[in-house]
Amino acid sequence: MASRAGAANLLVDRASPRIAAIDWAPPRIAAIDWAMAETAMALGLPLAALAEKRQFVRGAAITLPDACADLGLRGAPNLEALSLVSPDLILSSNFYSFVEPQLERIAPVYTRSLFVAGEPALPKVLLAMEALADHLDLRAQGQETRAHFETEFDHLAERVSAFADRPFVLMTVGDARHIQVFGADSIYGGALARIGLTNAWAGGTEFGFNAPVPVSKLLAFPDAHLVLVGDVPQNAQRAIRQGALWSALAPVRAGRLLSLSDNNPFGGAPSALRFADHLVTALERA
Amino acid sequence: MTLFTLENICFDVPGRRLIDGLSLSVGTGITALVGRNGSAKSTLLKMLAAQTHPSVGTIQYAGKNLQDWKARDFARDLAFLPQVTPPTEGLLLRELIALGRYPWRGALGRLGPEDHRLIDAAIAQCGLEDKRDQLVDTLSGGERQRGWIAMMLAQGARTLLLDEPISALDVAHQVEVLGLLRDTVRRRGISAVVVLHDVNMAVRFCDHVIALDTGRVTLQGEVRELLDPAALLRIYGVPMQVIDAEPTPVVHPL
Amino acid sequence: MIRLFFVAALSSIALWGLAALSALPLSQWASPFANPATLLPEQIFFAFGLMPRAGIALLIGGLLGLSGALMQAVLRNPLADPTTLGVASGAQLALVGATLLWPEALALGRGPVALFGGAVTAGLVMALGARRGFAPVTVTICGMLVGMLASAISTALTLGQGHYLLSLVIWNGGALSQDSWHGVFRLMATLVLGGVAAALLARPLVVLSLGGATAKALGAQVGLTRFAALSLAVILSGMVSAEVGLVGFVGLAAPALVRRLGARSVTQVLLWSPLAGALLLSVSDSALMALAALGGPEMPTGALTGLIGGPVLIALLPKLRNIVPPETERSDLIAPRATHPWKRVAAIVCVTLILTALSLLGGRGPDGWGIISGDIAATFLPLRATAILAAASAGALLALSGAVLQRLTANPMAAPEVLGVTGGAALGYAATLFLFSVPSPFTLAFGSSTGAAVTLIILSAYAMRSDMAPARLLLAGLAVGAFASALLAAVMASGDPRAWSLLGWLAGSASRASVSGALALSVMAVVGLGASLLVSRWFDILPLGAGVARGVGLPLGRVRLGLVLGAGLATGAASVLVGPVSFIGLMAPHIARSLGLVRPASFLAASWCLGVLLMTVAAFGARTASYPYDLPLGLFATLIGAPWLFVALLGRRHS
Repeated sequence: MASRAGAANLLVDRASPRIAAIDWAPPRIAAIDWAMAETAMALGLPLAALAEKRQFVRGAAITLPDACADLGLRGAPNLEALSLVSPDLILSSNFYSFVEPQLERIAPVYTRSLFVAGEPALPKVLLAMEALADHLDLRAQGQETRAHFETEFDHLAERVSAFADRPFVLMTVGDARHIQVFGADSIYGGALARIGLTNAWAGGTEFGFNAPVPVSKLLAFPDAHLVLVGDVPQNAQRAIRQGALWSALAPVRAGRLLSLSDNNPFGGAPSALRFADHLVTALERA
Repeated sequence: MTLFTLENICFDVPGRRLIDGLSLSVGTGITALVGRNGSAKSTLLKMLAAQTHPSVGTIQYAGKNLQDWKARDFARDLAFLPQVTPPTEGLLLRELIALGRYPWRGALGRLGPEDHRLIDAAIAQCGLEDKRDQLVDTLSGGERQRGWIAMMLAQGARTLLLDEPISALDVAHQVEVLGLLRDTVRRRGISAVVVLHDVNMAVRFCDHVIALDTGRVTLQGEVRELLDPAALLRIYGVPMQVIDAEPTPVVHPL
Repeated sequence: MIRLFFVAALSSIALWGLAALSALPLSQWASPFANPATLLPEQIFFAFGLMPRAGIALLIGGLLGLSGALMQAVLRNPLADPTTLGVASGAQLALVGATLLWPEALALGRGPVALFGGAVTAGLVMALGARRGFAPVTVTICGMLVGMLASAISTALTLGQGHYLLSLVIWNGGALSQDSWHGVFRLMATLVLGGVAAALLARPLVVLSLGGATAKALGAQVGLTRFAALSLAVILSGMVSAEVGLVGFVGLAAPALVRRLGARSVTQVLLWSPLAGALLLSVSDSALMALAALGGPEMPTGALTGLIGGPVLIALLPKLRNIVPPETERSDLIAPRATHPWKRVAAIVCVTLILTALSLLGGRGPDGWGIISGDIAATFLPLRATAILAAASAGALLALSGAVLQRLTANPMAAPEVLGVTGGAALGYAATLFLFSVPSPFTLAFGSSTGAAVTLIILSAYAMRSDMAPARLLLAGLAVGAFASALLAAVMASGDPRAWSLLGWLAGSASRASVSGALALSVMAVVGLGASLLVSRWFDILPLGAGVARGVGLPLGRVRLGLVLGAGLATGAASVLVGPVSFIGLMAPHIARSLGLVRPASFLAASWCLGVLLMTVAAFGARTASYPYDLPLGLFATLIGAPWLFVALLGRRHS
């Protein structure tokens, strides 16, 4: 089980020496967007710099190299720190298009549109993996890495085939009365679909700053598994254990409440895989 | 000679008609505008000064409709002193008085020797030579009021409009300011319209009087015509007596 | 009035009923309140979700109405409410801080934390206000300064944590959904106790409404009454903040509404305001619930009241004419006047140049502090110079706008921030963000400038009618600013991804400027200074008021319009870079005045230069304080400026 949980890490460890072996100096890559950062690392490219490194390290599916510099806030990256790194390439996404003109002054920017409301994100993240590899003339590497992820997802799908038609609601808890639900346009939703499970939440979400919804919305899904991702805030813990509405929810009464450890909802394929892995493990334990 | 001609003036405030169909002509010399509170004297003065405009009707000044005057030409010809003079943060007296040259020099023009001569003359006429380099805000009420009058003089206007210029002053300063006004008007051969509350001051320092009651003229003529108990009763609504005294008779409410 | 209230109550019940019917058939309505374990989830939702929500909407509306009525009665200020006095922002800051730094404190619930924050800000505002005899405008402006400072810090903290403050986004939006009756019981107790206390305070407040001096002459305990009533108001609104978050404008609108409907005396306003507030919020909330039940969008109630309340309030402003006490709040001190003003200006220029050079060459990197070394200077200096040029120009533009507006309104507290101009710029920026899919920096600058100018034009159109009376103008500006922040909160709570870049912009950053953007800003700053110096004589005449200005033949309408538009453009352009809050526009002219630079030309030049100086220092601080995390520029300027302003306000004693 441990080897699966660390699948993404293994992938990086396995990929890096090969790049060195063919005597190819990897480009110095700085990443503003976390999903693009994970994508690059999944390809075995070491990051020279990353925005909001402090926060990233807390929930990341991948260990960063020590030499990786912190670039400050994603929304306002520190251009001086970035220019000190003298990157060959800067990875960004549609979230940060408003800072790209400034980034262009320092190095070429490679940007992908990943998270768009209503559009599935995971396929785009996996495509970005191949596209980035192409961009860096690592076509084979890209195809191989993607194939690896697809295989891992397939394995996980087999393990949960028993739950194939069961609906799931993926969420983080905001406070005692509000939750944030992940739709198909998130990487969690994508991972869920990829391993053959159904996302009960058909309503729209707006990725990035998800609209919180009242807990009462969960009444609509009496048959679902409720999946809580990440830490539950202090003031909400009591409500989940004892609150009238929470304990009246059919899934809670039936013990279909799964709690997963913290993850990176804005990460790339490695985070999606790790989320799927945690989910499958939790289902098998239940 | 007529300064102002008003034809069928109406003035509305939300929900009320303050002045209804007022026709009037104002001549040269010093005219006192008297009446009870709410008789619309200040409103009338502001309309004469083009500070506010009648809802209906036209006002002519020097034979020309007020709307047809250009702002700066009008200011060269007519100066206005509001009832409450504003605080003048950081201004020295001479700087305040120099602002009276704005109608002549505008925002960009430099003040020439002629301007400085006129400013000095205004300061001298108002007896403020020793105060010229003081902050206006540090002057006494009477001095400040004289300073504002000096600014109007520096403006070089032929007509001065003053809204209750003595309401915040003690008796000595009232006499001083109105005396200055009368002397200046006489010496320069100009005209003034003054809103006054005090009948005795009006009688002593003015030539003509216009009395208003709720937007209508109740008396117009020589200022002496005020010295009539029947007229006073009509204007103020309280019986008053006229007591013979020097230099002018005084009126006193019964 | 009673008939109108009756209609409001009926429509509220009908709307709520619509929402309730879609959740649970009428036949089952009577079933709840047995053992929850035996109930169906729908019944639970009805009994523990919908019913308490109806109750909480009424209670919160009532509490806010009472709180607003109390504040307005004490401060004799028709625009006082928990939002405008900074109480709500203080509570918010306390909650943000606790969430990030001390989560355990929240285990007891939000109440104590929010009350603490609200009480601290209210205490600060009152301490400042006491020095000026609680003059309405001064207190309101102090409240706004404190509130802005608190929300600037909250924003910075939120930003530093990226997306992770979900619960605060909910809180900001003022969501009323419930899952138990606990909140209703807590607030009901608060309302009952608060109502009793307010009844006890009613008569002293009536006496107080005659004005401080008269009240004292009648033997009233002026200070004690004010303190008690304000404390009560703060506690009431703090409890609301803790329970559901920011529900703006109810405290402002309820008393205004009942006054409009004919309540005249303080007692009547105190009596009717809670009822009006309760019905107002109940109708809004029921309408939202009915909308959601019919398949419409979900929206936080607080955001809705902000959206409705803002325009209603601005519409009510002309009626304030007779309500605002004709109290003059001019400075009691004679302003100092420098003998050689231009020598002082030259000294300011020298200091500015030296500090700018230092901030260009010195700084902080991965290896700590130091002077920039030669080998990396080539890559570094252009980046840094662009940022510094942009920041300095923005500072100059804001300071110049502030100086112009202060002279225009003859009010030392006028500034782009205070007049809601930056709020308008923020709205313009947000509108541009939503109208264009990929707006260019130029489009954004144009959008926010337009927003700023439109705000100023609306304000001055209003101000013309009341002849630019400083108090009314400031209050109108305040209303615009409050409306803007309510709208922005609604955008934030809507969950749109563009809210992310809006949040980033609200904080402001110098490094975001492009070379051409920085150059354009600097050209604007220089041209603005030149133009205003050219017409400096206007700035002598304008503070003397409309009467004098017209009297000397100033074409007042055109001059005002031109200056207002210029200030709006400058503010809009600068706030694209700096974000809406910085206080530079208030601070720089203040410092210039306290240095004795009272004549227009030296005052304008010194303000301009001080704007450069302050913003350069702020940019340096923002860049270095927590390297590599660039802190918000506006926040840093606020941190430098707000304390200084408090000191300045404290110094201006009421005689």
